[in-house]
Amino acid sequence: MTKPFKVLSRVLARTPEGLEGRDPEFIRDTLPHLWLAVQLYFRAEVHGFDNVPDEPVLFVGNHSGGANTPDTFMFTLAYHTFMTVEGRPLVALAHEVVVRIPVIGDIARKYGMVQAGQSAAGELLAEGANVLVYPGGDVEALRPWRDRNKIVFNGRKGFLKLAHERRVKIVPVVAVGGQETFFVLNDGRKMAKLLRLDKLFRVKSLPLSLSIPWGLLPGDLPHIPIPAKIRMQVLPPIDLWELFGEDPDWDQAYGYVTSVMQVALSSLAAKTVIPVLG
Amino acid sequence: MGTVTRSASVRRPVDEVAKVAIDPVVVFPIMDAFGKFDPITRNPDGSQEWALHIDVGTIHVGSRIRVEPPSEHTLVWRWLQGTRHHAHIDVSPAEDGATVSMSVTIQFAGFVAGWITGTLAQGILGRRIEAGLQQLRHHIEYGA
Repeated sequence: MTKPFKVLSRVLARTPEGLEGRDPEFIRDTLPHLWLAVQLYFRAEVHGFDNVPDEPVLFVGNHSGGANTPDTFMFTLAYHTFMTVEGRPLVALAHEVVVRIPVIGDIARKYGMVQAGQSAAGELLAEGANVLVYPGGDVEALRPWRDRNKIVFNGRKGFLKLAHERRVKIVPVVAVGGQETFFVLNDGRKMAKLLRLDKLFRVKSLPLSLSIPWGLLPGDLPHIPIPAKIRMQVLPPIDLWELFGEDPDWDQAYGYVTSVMQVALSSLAAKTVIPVLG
Repeated sequence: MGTVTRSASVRRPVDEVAKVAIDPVVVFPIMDAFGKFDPITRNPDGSQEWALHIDVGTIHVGSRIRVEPPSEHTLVWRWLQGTRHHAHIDVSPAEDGATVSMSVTIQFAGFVAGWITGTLAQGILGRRIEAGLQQLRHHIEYGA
């Protein structure tokens, strides 16, 4: 079988969950093409991988781009391009909607994505993997345009408890531009609550968005992203044990981590000359 | 000409915030995401002169500025040479601490070209002020 068909058959093959499903050979085959595409389309700029220590860490990012979340995609590709494919694996925790989509979910699992969950993440860190989480989840990915350069973790502190319990450092990752790939007009949290979407589908916000090809839409569906420039910065690690001890004040730890990330995010956003264009 | 104003909430008492935010020797080095400040001289009347350099997109705004002697909760500066602008940083009490506001008014030469440049510069300046204020807030709340 020729190589493109081999890759295609592997794309279509069912993939198990967790580290077992991660396919380094598939990553190696597809990485150059996907990274080139991302560099051309989003003019991707990623810095700071030299800050990552050689031990399992919890990458904590700000989430953008609605249903597409190009930042997750870009960080995963950048990690494999700049760090390693064969070495310490990267596992990204994704919303269950993403990992359940046929084909796309399978590709995501081959690249190391698993459904978000604290116990799964803990086990992966114990197995020596680096784990990527987006505490802000769908609320942050659907934050309005005016807040596009803000960290919106919505008070979620599970990632802090996970890092502390597993004694791993947090490596913050901030990105700008992802929220400029479509337009979110309002917050939409009240609407999600009113329609009980938070209970039924774990969807916490239902804002009005403007995207291609859908136009004006309540919430968001996978869309054609506007080719906005995306900048990403990996920050120095934060050791919760060193800073906050054995029994941290979680509010204080949360405030500190989000503050560090907000400073870096605002500084990164200050490099933008014109939104979308970069 | 356009004025850009941004604010940040700082969870510390207003006097503690003002001590940092209105002292040019302390605040300017902290806010390096806004621009680079270099001290030039101190005048007998208590004012100071600094060199200020801001990247406004592809335009590099350079100025020699005069910083007025600080009042209790306000820091004001005005250009002496270079790009015409003036700015002020104000600290005011808020429910859970203090609010730091920063306003920059900048003038570009030319009727149409000045208007276009000014319009573009407003967004860029806004993001730069925001970045500087976030650095200031973090410094006051958590230290360097």
